Amino acid sequence: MKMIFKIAWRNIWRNKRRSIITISSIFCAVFFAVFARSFQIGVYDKMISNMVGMYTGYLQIHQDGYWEEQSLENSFIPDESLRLSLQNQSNINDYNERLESFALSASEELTKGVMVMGIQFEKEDELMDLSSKMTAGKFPSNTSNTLVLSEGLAAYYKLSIGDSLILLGQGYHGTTANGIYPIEGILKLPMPNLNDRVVLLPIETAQELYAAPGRVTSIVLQVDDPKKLNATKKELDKTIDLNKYELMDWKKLLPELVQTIQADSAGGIIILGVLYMIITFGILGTLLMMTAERMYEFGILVSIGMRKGKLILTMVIESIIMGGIGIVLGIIGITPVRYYFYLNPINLEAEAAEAIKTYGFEPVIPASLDLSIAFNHGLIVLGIVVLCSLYPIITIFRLKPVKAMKA
Amino acid sequence: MKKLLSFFIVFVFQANAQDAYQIIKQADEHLRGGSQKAVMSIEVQRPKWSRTMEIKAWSLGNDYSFILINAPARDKGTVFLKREKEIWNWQPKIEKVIKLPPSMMMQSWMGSDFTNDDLVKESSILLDYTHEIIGDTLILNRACYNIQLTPKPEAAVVWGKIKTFIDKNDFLQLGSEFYDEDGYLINKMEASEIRFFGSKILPSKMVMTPLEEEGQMTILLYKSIEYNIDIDETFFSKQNMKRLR
Amino acid sequence: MMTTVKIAWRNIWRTPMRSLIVISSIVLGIWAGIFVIAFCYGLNSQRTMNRIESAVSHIQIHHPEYEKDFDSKFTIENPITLEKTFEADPEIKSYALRSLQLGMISSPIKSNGVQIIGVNKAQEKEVTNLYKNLTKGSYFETKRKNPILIGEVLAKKLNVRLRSKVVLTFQDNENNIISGAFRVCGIFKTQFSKYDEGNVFIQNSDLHRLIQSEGYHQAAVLCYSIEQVESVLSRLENQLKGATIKDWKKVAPELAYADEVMETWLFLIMIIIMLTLIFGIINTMLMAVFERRKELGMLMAIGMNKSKVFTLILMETLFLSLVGAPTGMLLGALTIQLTSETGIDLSIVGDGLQSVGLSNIIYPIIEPKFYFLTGVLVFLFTLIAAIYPSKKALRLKPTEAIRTI
Repeated sequence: MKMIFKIAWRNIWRNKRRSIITISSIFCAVFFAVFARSFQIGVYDKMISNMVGMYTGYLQIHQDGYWEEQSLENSFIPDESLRLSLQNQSNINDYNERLESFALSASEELTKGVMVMGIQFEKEDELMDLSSKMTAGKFPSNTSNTLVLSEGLAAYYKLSIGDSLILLGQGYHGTTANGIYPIEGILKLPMPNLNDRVVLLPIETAQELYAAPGRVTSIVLQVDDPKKLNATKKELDKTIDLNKYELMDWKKLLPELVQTIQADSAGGIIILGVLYMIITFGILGTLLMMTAERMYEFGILVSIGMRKGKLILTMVIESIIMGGIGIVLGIIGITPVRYYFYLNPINLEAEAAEAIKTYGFEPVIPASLDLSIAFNHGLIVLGIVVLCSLYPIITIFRLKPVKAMKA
Repeated sequence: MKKLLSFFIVFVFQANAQDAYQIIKQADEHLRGGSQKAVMSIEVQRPKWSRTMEIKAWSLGNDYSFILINAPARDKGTVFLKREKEIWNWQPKIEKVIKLPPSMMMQSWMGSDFTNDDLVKESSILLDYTHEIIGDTLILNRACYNIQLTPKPEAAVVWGKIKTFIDKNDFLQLGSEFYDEDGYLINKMEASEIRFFGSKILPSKMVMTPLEEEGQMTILLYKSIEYNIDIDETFFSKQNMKRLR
Repeated sequence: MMTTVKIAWRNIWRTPMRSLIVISSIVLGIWAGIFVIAFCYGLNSQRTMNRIESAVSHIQIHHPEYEKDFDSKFTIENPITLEKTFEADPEIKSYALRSLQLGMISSPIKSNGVQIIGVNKAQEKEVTNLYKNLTKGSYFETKRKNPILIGEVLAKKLNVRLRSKVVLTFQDNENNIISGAFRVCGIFKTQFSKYDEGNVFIQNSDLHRLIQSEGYHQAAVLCYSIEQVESVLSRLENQLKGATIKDWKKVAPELAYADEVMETWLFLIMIIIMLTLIFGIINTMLMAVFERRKELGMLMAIGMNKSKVFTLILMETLFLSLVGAPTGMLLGALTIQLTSETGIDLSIVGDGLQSVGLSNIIYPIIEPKFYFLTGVLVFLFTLIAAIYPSKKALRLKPTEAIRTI
């Protein structure tokens, strides 16, 4: 057995030119397959980070049952053990507390139903980059009884900084929630339907409005490394009391996003399939030519007594070794390219870019650095190499030595 | 003979319906007739909490009413004004009169088991339903008519049917049961602690229980009621909302 | 020169295997290019069609003030004139007038905020595919009064089913509160559950009777084909002064730009495919050249000069391309023909499609110019790809070549 390996290895380097050609076709296969897939995945990752960053975050904690029925009655007071679990999680930078509910907003003559978000402004700025969305004024301080209005609302009521808005609604345990708040800032939210109906208050002010001191409806976790999300979630599942709380990741919070990505991915896989057809053909072509070139050599070996089975095995091992080299080189080769496109994503055309920006998405096509892409496609290419080796195998099998030597 | 019999049956049926209508009308007028001023408390009970509000209410028939909340402190000074089908709200903190839009009509009134819409819709008991006496019941040792209300086809009410129990002697509404169209009992209203308010006899306690949830109910307690006070339609104005005490 | 050409031609058919491989690579490259382009355009066009047929239509018309706050007092002026204009236009296939109200829907146990859409059922059927999305009940085929269609999600939330009674509450044009009882006549399910939860459909006649006014807030127009939209739009803009007229691109801009976004993607993918193809061909041809070194060396030894050898190989490649390119285009065209009728079933690769407004079957479409473009590109690239191996062939030393066993 060791003998066969030695022979295979030497065969490869015996004819450098031929081997280099073969290896390079495999190199190209891995290079381009991974290149294409990296862009596809890169776009999905970007979509996820955009949507997640807009509002939901990667992980949220609520009172058990809140997601089904999102009312103030399902708010909770975060207890010490919860805070400790969160602080002890290495993958979590910080956590944002929110109190959200509905209210009727009113000015002199008009009314409109609005969504009230009681938030910690600095922390949400870290998560959602609120400051870049402000179009006028500034954040309220943590204790001020002022609010930030979304642009659409400001336009509807024709209000500006310094004017006041009335909020009326139902508080915790049925008390009336009512108050009048001066406007300290105006911001533009990326999603048009949110932009028409959101009011932001410092969380303590919201808690006072709704008679819900210390209560929150959700805690949004600031995840450091999104790739480790699953592991983080599993760890938290163990330390948090799941009878009291529910822990939800973005997939549960944004099921439509998951569906959109799946739908897109299906189309992407078909295109990748087409690419693989071309790749397979390239590798097959190379192996075909290589076989044709070596017919004489095979003929001689068989006629001097080498068993066909051993010859086949040697050839297969040659293919696998060359495949391996090609794949490893391909992965090494594509990595800097992916890195480049990760840092400098392709920008979309001007008009398309504008349209996408209104939805809060970045108009770019980045490449993903995910290692599993390289791994998976490396394996697929190896499989293809082995598959294509069938041709030389069958040829050797059918070999008639005399005929072969005449070639 | 057949014709006479069927005529007789129809006559009785109609008479029944007429009676039922009259009975309900009388019960309604007994409770709400003319002008009145009442002091009461409303207790909202939930599995994990409860809240009691002290209220003063003025009303003129079914179409005009004021509700002023005096306790708890957080809600003190809140006023609701009802004029026919519209509801207005005044909050002392805000100092503005706001009309409740349709979206708020279906929300619960002050967290209780009554909706804003219930405050408006009570008069529809007569207009939106057909009434029929279906039997007798004994409630609190009083003989009562058991009257079934069936919504008219075009009536904008969610119920499949309502059963209401009216005391035969004093026309007190001592209970109501609200069913959906599948016959499930959804809400129940029970009255008790009958006593005299001035010259009128009325139940002083009314409990509204939604049966879908456990441990939920709203309890109305009338502390005092004055009748035929000197107010008219102009009393129920937006300007007066600020002046109520 | 002619000799070189003759030799080149004969060489191709002398070694069928080798030639076949190169021809196949070319055919595959062209086919792949055509297929991917058609697929992407098909995918996109499907998405756009779906949205147009279910919600957006080709053109929407409102009162100029209506879309600011959706105040229901801003109804369309002269609806009858509007309808006549639609009827008279040969490029307009169908139209529907709608009344819109924001309000509440209530059942015995729950209430929900909804947009109430009043439709004329016959008109609506011609414009949107709502009637196809019913999972239960019928599309207003009932003798009962006040029928209503609600989404499955909403029915569940309100705990109602077919023939249940619900109450709609909303405001009329004078801000009076109006309510009416409706019977669930049909339950629908679209790909967007948020849409299902927030919209209910009743008949215009019932809505107008309740609010005692006959106004419409929205007119939706469908043309015979999407290419006619532009001309219909400009005609309507001339004929209907004092109304806001928007085409589907303005109503749903994300659809308009989907094409452009996709084109960027397509460009990227095509580059990758072409590069893969080129390298594949280079490799194959390199192998071919070295396989023939004895033969080529022989030619050079008997006097064929280097530039002729170069031309020979290039010419061979040219012929191979000339055979391959049309074949590739033909194959591509056939595939598109076939699949554009039967469609490509994507459920083999993914399930999330229906929820985002796509049926699982994609019908590829392609503009004729792309056939030509792809063919020419692959042709050119093949020739370019052949240069390197041809150059390598020149480096062969005739004496060495002959000596190789």
